[in-house]
Amino acid sequence: MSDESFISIKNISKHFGNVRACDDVSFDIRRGEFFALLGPSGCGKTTLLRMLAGFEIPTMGEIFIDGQPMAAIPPYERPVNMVFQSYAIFPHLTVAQNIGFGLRKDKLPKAEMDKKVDEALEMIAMAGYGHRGADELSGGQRQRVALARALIKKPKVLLLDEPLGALDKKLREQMQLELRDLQREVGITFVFVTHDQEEALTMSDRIAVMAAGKALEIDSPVDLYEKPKTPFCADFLGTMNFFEGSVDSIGGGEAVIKTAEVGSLKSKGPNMDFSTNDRVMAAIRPENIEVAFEQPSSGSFITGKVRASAFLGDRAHVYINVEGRKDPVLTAMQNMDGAASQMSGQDHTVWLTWSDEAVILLPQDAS
Amino acid sequence: MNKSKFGALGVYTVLYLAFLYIPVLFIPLFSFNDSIYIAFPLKEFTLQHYVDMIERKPLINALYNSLQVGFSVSVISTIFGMLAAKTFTKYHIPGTKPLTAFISIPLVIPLIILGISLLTVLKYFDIKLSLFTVGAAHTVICIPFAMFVLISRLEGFDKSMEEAAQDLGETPWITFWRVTFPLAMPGIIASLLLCFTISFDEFILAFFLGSDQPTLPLYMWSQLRFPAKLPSVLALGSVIFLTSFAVVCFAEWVRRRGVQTQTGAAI
Amino acid sequence: MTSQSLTSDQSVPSAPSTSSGGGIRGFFIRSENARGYALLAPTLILLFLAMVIPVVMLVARSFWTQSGMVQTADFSFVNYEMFFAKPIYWAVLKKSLYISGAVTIATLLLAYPAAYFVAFKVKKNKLIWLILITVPFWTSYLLRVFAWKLMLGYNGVVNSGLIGIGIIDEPLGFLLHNVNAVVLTLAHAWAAFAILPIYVSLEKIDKSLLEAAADLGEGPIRSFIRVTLPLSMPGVIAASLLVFIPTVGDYVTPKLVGGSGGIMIGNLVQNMFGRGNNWPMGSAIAVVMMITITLVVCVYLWLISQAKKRSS
Repeated sequence: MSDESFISIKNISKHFGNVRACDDVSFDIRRGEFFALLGPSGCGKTTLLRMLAGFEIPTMGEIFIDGQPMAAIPPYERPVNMVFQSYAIFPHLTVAQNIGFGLRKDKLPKAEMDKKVDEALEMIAMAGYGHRGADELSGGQRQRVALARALIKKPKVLLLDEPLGALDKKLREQMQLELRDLQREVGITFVFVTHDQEEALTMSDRIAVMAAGKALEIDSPVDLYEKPKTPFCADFLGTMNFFEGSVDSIGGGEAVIKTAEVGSLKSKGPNMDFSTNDRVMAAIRPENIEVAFEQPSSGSFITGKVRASAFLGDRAHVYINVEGRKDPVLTAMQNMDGAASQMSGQDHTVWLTWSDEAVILLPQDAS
Repeated sequence: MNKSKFGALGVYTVLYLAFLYIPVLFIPLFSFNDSIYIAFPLKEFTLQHYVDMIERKPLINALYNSLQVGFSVSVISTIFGMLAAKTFTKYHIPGTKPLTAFISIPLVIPLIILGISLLTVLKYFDIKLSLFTVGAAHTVICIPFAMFVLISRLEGFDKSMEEAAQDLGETPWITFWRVTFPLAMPGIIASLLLCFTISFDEFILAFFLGSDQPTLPLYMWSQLRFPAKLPSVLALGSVIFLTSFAVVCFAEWVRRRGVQTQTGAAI
Repeated sequence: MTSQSLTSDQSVPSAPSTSSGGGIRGFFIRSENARGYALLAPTLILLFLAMVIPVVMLVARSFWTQSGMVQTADFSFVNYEMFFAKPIYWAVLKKSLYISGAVTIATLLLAYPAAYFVAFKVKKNKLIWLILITVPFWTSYLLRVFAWKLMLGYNGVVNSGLIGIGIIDEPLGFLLHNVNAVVLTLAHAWAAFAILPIYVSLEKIDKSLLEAAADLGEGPIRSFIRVTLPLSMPGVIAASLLVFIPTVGDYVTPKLVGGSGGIMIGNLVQNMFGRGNNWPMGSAIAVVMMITITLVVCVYLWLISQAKKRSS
């Protein structure tokens, strides 16, 4: 089995009554990859993870792990282990007993088993905590114990269900890095579920963005962010300004879009798979829009008035009203040398410019 | 204004409790009274009725019978109750509501109906009445109690505990023994104790399905006809009362304490 | 081959067939419901054998006839004709319903304020109050009934006590052996069955609803009638059924404290299975009793659903 399709998800659907939690999902996960399932709640990402673990049975389709079909394999025989959202630390067992829980079947001599548990405790920097009860642990410690308990089994795949969701922000950021390092160290394929786009961008090699039971796009974080192929992804990862329009001319890596709101827009973006008169969305990231207080001497620009600004410390979001457009255009600027303070006043007239490369063409949603 | 309302309701509740307790408490009171008449004024304090009680061979036999039935019934009903509770908490099978209602029927069916129905069947198949038939009938009425006690316990802990065990390589059967059983322990103890008490005190089914080996309530019933034996029946009643009281308090304490530590640990 | 494709076709219609997914094991792994029903089956089978079949056979036996010591398994309505021919049966059944109805109302009225007190007014140690209230229920039913016999008897506790403190000179004869004694004893014996469901439904009420009612200008009595009482109705209904249904068939209480005037339908049944030795007749009485209880309960629930519709 090739490393490219170490985990192979083929036409998976899962229906709960009339609800389609997963709807004909197909993609592959590579060996040794840190893979994220990202989407809003109810998009089917947890259901998909639970199907990988064997807790839910697909209504249709098949899952292969390392070339082996999973259909008839119960959870306790699958080569995968899971870190649960609640961590599911057994409250009646000590930390060491929790970590060693899955080793019973290996029938190791006691000394060897203790050694393995000690190594695992060391790996999660909790040496000496073995005799503690599960109720004496902090949230971060519970998360580590859950990790160690799953990794001690040396699974082919580690599944993580919102592994950092229960932690506070500071701890979460620290654990993101630790998890990333740990994954490189053990080299096991990680599949994790999150609704937090920043978390997915930070941690994963590749991300599958899911919505309404479908896997919309699968790509690396950078490509997903810079070259989204659907308006949903463009909007869900980061923020985006959309301008509705139709293709006026296209060819040679360039396109001109006619919009009702801001006139013509030129695009040299990644997606040029359209033909003339297609209905499209021209999308521009806020950080790619430059705000000037004086009229630029050349190039294309639009004029607007500052409506409000949101000061975020390291940067500021500035909302700019543009005549003929209902929603304000969102721009982001680094707060270098107090640049944001210039924006604090309202009703400044400003000029917005961007490069043609920053204009991404997307198909309009069917809805 | 608010305070006086609290007072009125509180006073009422205390009076109501008195109504519940006073008749029952006369039983131990007169069991220590040195007279065979159950009437005021009280005579001397005596333990003679308890001595009489212990010296009666049939009574000890009846006690032994009741214990046998009670122990078996509590274990068997708890097993069946556990199977049902596990089903309803783990699987969302179609028909959960009517099936739960079906298992709860013994809670509302008049016991006389159940008693004569079972008697009819036993007679039809020529099965002899014995402690076994009494125990079977008690099992039927105890199962819903066991099921509800266990459901409330099983609902109390994180469902992913069991999934975690399976994920770590244990079959559902081993998962039950390594995870579910220890976590459900307070509920299991409560269920065992409650079923035991129900069986130990039960009279109507035992009356129809009992044999020449009487259980304690049956023996008591047979003694009620003889006024001279009444004081020792009172002594016996006091012992049963005290035992049930202790067992039920302990069961409730175990069950609720379990719920509390569980929620405490989850926070 | 066929069974294999059958099982895989049922749950994985469009999947390329997987040879390892067939067989009974594969079926149970894939079907949650199958596993659920399998787990429940032992309990259902037991209750079917020990409850459903017996009741069905009881109904069957009610169509038998008995003359002397011989029972005949011919289908006949003789017992039912007898039931409706002799006014005594109807009279006792009606009285049983009357007694149980009175017991139910008395128990609910007595239990509701106590349940309300524990649910809303007790802040600490609710558990102790609950145990205190339920413990008498867990002691022997026989003992509880017997206790009232001791209390109310001609030479009993109440009479001797009252004479002792000089309130009366002669024992009061009307305390025991009548309908009132039966109602009183049953209202005592079944108290916990009323308190617990009512308490649970009161405890479930979101306290902020009551605050909202007060905030909207409702006085305490009106907010009780408009908010608390309707929301606690499920508990009241459950309690009324839990008390009414079993007490209709009681025969121990009437026998110990009811005297000849307090006889209930359960005594007739018990007599037919005991000294009367006419099981088919006893079965017929029991069946009529079951049907009557069912009808009364259905009418009761229908009236409640009508009342609900009207109020909403």
